[in-house]
Amino acid sequence: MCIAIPGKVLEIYQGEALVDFGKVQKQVNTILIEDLEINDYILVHAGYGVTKIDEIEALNTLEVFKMLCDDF
Amino acid sequence: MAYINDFKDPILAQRLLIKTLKLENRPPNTQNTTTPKLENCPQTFNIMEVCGTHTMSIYKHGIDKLLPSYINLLSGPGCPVCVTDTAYIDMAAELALQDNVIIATFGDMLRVPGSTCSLSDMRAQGMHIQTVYSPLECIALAKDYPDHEIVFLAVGFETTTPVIALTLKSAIKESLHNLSMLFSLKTMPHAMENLILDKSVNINAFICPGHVAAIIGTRPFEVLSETYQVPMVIAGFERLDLISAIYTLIQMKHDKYYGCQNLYKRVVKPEGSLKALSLIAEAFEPASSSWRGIGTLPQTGLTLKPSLSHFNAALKFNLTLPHAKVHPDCMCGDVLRGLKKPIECLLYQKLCTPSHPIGACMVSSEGTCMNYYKYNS
Ligand code: SF4
Repeated sequence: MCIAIPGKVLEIYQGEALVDFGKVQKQVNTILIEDLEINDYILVHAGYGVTKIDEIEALNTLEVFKMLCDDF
Repeated sequence: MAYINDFKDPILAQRLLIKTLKLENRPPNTQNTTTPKLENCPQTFNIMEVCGTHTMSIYKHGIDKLLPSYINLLSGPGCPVCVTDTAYIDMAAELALQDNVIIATFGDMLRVPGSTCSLSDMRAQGMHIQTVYSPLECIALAKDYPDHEIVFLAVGFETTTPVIALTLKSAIKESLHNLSMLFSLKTMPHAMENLILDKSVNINAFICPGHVAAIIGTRPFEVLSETYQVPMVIAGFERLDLISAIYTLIQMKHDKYYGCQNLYKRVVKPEGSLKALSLIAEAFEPASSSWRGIGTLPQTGLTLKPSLSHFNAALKFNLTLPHAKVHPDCMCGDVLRGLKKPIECLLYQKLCTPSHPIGACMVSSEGTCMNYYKYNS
């Protein structure tokens, strides 16, 4: 029950957003997320948006992981 | 979805795994004088993860079977369903028997065994037990059934607590008087501290729970790492996240240093979620909590602020803590502390199976015994 899954924000309403999880779309509470924009990816748990997924940090982390692999 | 799926990349994961396996043959890098040094570094290295989703991901990808024998992966008390005490289920069952009470719960809780029955058994007998995906659904339930009391089974760690606090806030705003909750909320840092101090367990490193850290930030884990000289990483949940977490910890062991590294920066900020933390602080204060098979641990739970005690179902219905009955051979407590593997429990696969669970670790998809059964049988 502690699973949180990423989804893409399709529509934004007052304190809520419609989020696309690939197979399903769901309306979730987004009160805790600041500056939410359409097309943002957010992490959703038990019906609320926990946080935005930071694309720049994601790409930086992937770079670090790739560098680890290259440096055999 | 590009960068999200990249963390599942099997080729990259495989290459990183091969590199992990080669680490032992590399001479230790002792040049770096700025990192704090580990004084005692054991031969075998026990790495514990304390999040049910990490447990599930490790078993699902078979990562536990790919590592060298000196690396021992242990699953800790990170699944909220597994750590729920039998007495809590008994109290929920007592509430379900009351007239005009509707129990609302996360689906995973239904099959957790109580002393005599589970909530699923009670539902089969006609008690009104409703599964919800989010506690926020209780607001609509309370409006739809104004003559009933909705009791939500409020279990979970720091990741779930904010949405429970949001639900309470919403109930106040809507002046709902027919919603209450049976609380068993838990917090992770002191539970980890207890595990570190429990010398029978011997944990050498932690994979910290990424989604708990998204709420509470990195500092509580850094403090633990610094205080007890235990290497830690905060990690995500895809295979690349987990293999890089294990790689980093083995590297720390190899080069003999400790610290807490955040490998999940795309989600975890150093300060966590300030909004979620203030919401939690508005509604709750620290308290002791009872952990299945482990006992009551100080500072590992949350209790309602006195001003909100009308939401406390235990008070509202005058419940007393029942004397719970647990199967004498159940080893959930030892499994949850990483002391025993599921296979060492006498009940495992014989009396205790996913279709007939005796202990809570066999119920949830994040439970250690359930995952062991699913991927090792
Ligand atoms: S096999 Fe069943 S009883 Fe034994 S530890 Fe696992 S869940 Fe508990």
